[in-house]
Amino acid sequence: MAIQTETIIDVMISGVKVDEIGVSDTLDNYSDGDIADFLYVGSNSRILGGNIDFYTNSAGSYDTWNAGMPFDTGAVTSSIMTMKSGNGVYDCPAEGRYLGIILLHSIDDIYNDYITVSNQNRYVALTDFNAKKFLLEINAVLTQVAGAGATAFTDKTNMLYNPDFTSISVKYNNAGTYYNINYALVPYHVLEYGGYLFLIHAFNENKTSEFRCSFNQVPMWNAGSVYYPFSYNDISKSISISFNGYGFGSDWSTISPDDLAWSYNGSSIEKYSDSDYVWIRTAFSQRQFRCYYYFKTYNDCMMMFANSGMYFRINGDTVFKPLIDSNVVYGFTDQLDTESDIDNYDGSTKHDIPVTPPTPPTPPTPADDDDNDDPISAAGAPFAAGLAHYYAMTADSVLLQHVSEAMGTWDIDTSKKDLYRNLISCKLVKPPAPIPVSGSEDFTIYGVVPEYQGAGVKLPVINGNPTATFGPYSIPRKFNDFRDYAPYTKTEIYLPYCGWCALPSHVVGRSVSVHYYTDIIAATVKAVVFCGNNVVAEAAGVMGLDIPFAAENVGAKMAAVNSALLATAAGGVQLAAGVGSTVATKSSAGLKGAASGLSQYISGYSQMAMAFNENWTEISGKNGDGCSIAGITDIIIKITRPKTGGNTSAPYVPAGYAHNVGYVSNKEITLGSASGLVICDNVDASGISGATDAERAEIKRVLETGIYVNSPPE
Amino acid sequence: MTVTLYNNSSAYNTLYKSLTKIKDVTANIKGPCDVDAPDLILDCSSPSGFNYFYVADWGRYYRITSREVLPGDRMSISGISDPVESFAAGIAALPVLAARAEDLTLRSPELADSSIPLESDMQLDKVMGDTVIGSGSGYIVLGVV
Repeated sequence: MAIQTETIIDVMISGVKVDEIGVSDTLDNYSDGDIADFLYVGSNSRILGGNIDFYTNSAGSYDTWNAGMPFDTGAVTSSIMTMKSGNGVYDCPAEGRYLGIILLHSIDDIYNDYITVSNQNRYVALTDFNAKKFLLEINAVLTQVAGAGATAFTDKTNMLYNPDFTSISVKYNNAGTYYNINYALVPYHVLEYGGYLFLIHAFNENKTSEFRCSFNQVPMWNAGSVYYPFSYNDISKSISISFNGYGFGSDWSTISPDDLAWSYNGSSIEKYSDSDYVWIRTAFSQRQFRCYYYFKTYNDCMMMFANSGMYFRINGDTVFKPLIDSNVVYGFTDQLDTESDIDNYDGSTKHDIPVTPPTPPTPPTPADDDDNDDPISAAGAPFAAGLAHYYAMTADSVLLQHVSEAMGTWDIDTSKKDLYRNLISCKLVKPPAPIPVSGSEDFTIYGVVPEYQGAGVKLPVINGNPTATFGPYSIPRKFNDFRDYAPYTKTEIYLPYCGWCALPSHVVGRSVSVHYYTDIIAATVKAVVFCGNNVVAEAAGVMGLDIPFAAENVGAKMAAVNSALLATAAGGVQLAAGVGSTVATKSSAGLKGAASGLSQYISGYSQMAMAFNENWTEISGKNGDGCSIAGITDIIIKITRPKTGGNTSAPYVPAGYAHNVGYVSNKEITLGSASGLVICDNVDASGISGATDAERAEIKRVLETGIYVNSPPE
Repeated sequence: MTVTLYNNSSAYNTLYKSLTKIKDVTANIKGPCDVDAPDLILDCSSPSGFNYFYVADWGRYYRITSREVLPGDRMSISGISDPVESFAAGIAALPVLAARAEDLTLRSPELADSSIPLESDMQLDKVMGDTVIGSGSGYIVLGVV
């Protein structure tokens, strides 16, 4: 089934999952996590896999593309892309680039496939999305050394331009032949459900040793902006890139070699850096469209990626440009000078690359027809000031003192002044990220500028709630078996502001990240823990204290409270901050060092209480929860695992356990195919010819209590 | 009939036992005979070197349970049938559900195994994350109508 250009581009840009837009008759053949791969292979190689074909313009005439893509050696058409069912094998007679899909399977699956299928036209990459014991990916190219079919393969691996990949031996057939598969571990959340991993090996083969791209296209429902990590080596030599495009729609008949070439250095890859990140921008250019991608490194080994969309050409020479606002594609235009966020990524205009943490992608409404976890996402609330104006000052700012003095010296009727004071709320907050401010404005109350030494006071205006993202943090497995999960292993995370929070079992072996959403007005914070796109835990906390705005000496009170909080933070003291209470509780042993600060805190707090006794009211609600801003300041993940009785190396069982007790199997086998101890469940021995009932009963008893299987005599 | 004498070094619950052939001998049944537990008279003078025998006419292997030396270079032996070895080929071809297995390729590591000993004591691993609450002095937020 041929897919039209417009449809494909729509898929790419809209981010709609392919099997939701009317081509499910073909794409339903895939399993979640199918991989499309542009492979560069040597001559006389064979690609295993299947399901999607890409066609070039003419048979063999184009020097960087081989005629007939994998899995279809027939006539090459001008079709841009066809979907095929089933799986295939494609013999690659010549060195060159190939396109294809590689299915991801578990080690067990591939093993079983290969021992039951005589012709090796199956899968070559391995993974699973339940993130159990499965490894990943990516492409394997097996060298065909002689003959045809399964027996022609040797254990030689012919994977080019793949220095990062590791090699693994997987059992090839029951006769014990092994072959190697190149693979790379990819974090679970890179793929997710419905994910497709695209691998593209450089189109310009002269550059392949220097620049290699793996295009990761997941998840498809959020094409507007996706941040995903991918491996990063030396920027000058080798790089793996993730992106979320799908397929390539174009009129291949008009493509020139330059259109397919990747730009890989000089002005085409631009590098930006600051103290936290390294940004790389590059462009994938074809005549019909261009894609711009961003890459950001952090933690030395991970990258974040954002797809800014693409230009594309349909209906002759008309070029369309996506209209993007805040990472949302809201339309297309052929007026190329129309404002769009995509221009932010165009080197010809500006380079205002955003440095805000990534926003978790919005998940689709999943079809609840599988065993997979349904993704659950979350987002913070917008800043809603309403009628009030909110200003942010650093705690040591003299501005508040000025405001206080302005109120104190304002020469108006006392009752009116008291009324005005009631219209002021004041908080001391310590958010997880800087409060965004925009400009400043005069301090006014109910539209009136208080007199202060003849001049007004300018205050910085808050224009948003700060958010922050931390992680990802990898939670390693230890046993690589059931003991990595509940009830044997327990995983908890300490979320500053909020306290300890239990994490579900399935985060083990994966990574989690923590997103903080705040509400400046309420001085509250919510920490949301993500595992991939899934919210796996959340907790709320308080990031500030309501401070009474008194007419006199308010600056000194602020200084006392702030000083106390800083001191107690160092000492690990958690302060109870219920309004009207004067209780301070000790939550850890570090109190001594904070005694001085705590004393100041209590002193400051007493002054606050005194101020409240003056019957001041507040504009916003009062804090009712414990204030943990002076508690532990770091995220901590605690993994509690069972001890294994002195068996301290894998598989963490006593010596002789396998031979004398046996591992849990629960697999159906032909008994003679096993070796060593086998304990069977509920054996049906009726098929044993020539045995009496008594002998069958005895055989059943032996098998169910455990039998040691040797090889049959020769 | 002919009986083949073996030395068996394998446990009873072993499929395809390790058998070392000693010799073939002529045997007669001692009297009315239970095929599952026969008593035989062997034309054999030495009782040593074998603990197992096979009766080709009956298609069965036996473990020797008693031996008695008789005059005239003969022996009396009693045996008990070993159906595991006698029907080894049929057993090997049986499709079975392996509840437990020694072979690592048959292991299902994600299935709970209550036989693996675990201490009630626990060990603690810690992954340290980033600092969320910085050491700065924070903000004073003023709200005014």
